[in-house]
Amino acid sequence: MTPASVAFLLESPARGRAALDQLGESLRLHRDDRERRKVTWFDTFDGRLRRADLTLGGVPNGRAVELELASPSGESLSRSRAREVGFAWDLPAGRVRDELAPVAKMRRLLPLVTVDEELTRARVLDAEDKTLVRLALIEGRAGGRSCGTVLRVDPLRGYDREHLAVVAALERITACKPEPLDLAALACAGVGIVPGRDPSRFDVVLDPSARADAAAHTVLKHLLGTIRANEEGLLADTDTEFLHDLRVAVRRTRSVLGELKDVFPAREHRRFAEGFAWLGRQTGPSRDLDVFQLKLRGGESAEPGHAEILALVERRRRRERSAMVRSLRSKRYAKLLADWEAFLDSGRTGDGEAAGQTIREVVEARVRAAHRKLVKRGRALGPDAPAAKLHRVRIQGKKLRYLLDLFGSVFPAGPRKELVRELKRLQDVLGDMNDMQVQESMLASLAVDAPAEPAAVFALGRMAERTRERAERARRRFPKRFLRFDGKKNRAHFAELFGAER
Amino acid sequence: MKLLATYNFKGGVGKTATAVNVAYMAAADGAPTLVWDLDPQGAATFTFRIRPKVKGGSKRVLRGELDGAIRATDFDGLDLLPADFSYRTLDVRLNGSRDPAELLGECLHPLRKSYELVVLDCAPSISATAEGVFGVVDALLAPTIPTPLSLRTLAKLLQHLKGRERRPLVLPFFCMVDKRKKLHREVCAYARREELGFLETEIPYSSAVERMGIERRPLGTFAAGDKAAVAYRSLWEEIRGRLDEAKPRGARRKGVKTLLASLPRPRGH
Repeated sequence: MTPASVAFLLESPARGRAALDQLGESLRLHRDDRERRKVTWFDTFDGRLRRADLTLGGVPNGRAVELELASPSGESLSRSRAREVGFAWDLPAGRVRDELAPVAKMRRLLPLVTVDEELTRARVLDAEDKTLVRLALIEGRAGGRSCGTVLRVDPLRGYDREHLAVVAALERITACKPEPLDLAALACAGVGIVPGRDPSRFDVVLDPSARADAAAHTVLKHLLGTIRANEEGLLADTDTEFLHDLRVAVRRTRSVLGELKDVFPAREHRRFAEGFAWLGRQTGPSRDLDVFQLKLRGGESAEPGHAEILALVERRRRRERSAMVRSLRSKRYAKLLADWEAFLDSGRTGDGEAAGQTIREVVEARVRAAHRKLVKRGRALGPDAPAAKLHRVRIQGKKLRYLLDLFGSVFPAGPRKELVRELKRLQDVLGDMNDMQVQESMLASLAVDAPAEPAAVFALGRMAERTRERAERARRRFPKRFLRFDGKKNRAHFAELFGAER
Repeated sequence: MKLLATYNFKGGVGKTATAVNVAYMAAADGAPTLVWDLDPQGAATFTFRIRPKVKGGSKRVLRGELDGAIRATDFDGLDLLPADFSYRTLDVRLNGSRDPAELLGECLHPLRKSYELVVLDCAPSISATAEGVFGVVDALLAPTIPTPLSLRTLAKLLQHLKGRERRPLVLPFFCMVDKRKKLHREVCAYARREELGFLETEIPYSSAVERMGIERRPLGTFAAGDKAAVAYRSLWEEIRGRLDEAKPRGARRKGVKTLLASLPRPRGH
């Protein structure tokens, strides 16, 4: 194994140059001219690369970008040259794409920060002028601020001993300790970005003894922040997940309004519940088409009619999107969010009994009720249950899930996570069925729009058939899944959290 | 991982220049690449300024312990498994094995994680090593000087490979082409006309290629604009295209007998 790159963080560029001079006294050192370059660090909006311990740096070269995928400590994993950086699937075939695609998935790679670098490269050579160790003195500036001076020592495969010797020499010369330095994080820190942070992640931790109204406000403010954070990317059509995350935040908001109704003043409650329901309706059709399009992309592209269907879906998606964008740019939307923000800031609460109780008491009662209903509805259904009834079970499951997701922090984590895992599995089956039903009706409506090409019409027919089959498979999985959710072990988790079922 | 070998019975036809330049182009395109210098003469190793020494020699190599022997070249994404004088005994060792191709394949297997392309620079001989290489590579690059004798050598190679179960895709191409020479022009035209399955790209004769022995680095790094450097780039692109095909297209080529029978004859006979 080749050792990892190490770096010395120095107090000034002059110190770095002096260190190279001193190193040159005892070793054959070739130093290149100083060059300037711009390095852009990329990640998805939700920091997927960083969380997968990857960094993607890009340096422009003519009309192309030289990309390097590396570990945070600078160990190069693969390189590629791309026309532009967007979705992983659009990158040229090769390792960079192969390694990025399963991490970034449908999220666009966005520039996080661009660093203006002054770079002096140097090489330690042997008697034959073969490079044994590479060095780079990097002085970076991002957003008008210095990212520090770094002297990086990169090993070459098969020359480990030489690398260790150079590192030891530089340790003596600089009187610094070498460290695995993360250049991307250093650049991000310079402009106040936290690498790997997902602005849509819900991570509010509540105090179980807090008043229910105050806790609800905290949660809702966080969700409002998520809605705001995703607006720009949604309007710019950066990728599909901005809409997804915004919709999740809206649904969660509606869920809090529904489940904790009593802690809000009645008039405001009605108004905002209606407002967010409207927002949900405005964004629904676009999301359905996004899901369908993503599925098509991942599907069999060689199938006849596939390209025509993709074009058809894209046309409709554009139509639905412009309607949605109109809604999101409307006065109604601006007013809804501004009023909502003002309401949350005012701290006004309802005068019902629940507002003054602790959040744990209130949520516990709601979870019990949601769980009771879910179990009751689920137990009544057999393998031939009608879709409408299964849909009701799904909605009940969602209510329980949101309560546990948003207010779960007031309960012990262990059994709660187990409970949520089983619930998630149950919902996956029900969600699958629902997705298939949505898709089937979409396919039917696309067939009406379908162009005269028979290939496309046949392809739609085949897809509808597969969709029905998949829905049927999901339906058959339901009883077994439900039995697991309703099983002894899971009921024990529930009892541990909320006491025995009544 | 794709496996390529540069091979010809004849020496001095540009095998090493091809291995070094094609590997350099591949690495520059972002494909992590390894050159394995299988020729005990060690010309590729010399070109990259690396010591022709593998600790443990051919014995260790055949145990599959290649990892510790690999050296980075001065170029991003391009590594070398150096030549070693002990490779002269590689044949003896491979001859003693049940299946040279299987043994070589086992040696190369662990490299799959690290490289997208491995280029084997072979010695000019028919030996157990060559037999192993024939059975393991995806494609055999056969540099051929456009002369009747070289075509005859190629025909012999094709004949040798004919009817094998594991037969690599043979990609012959003309190199050291000197269009001032009438014979070169005629042989190239003949090969195209008769559809002998040569790659489109021809590597022209260039003194820059010979200078690689003095510069000791790939052409692209010191004479990128040279006609031979440009030709090597298009050669790599053509090879990549062939390797990327789901089912690599074998050259549309006449039978070996026809090839031998139809070699151009001197006029007046």
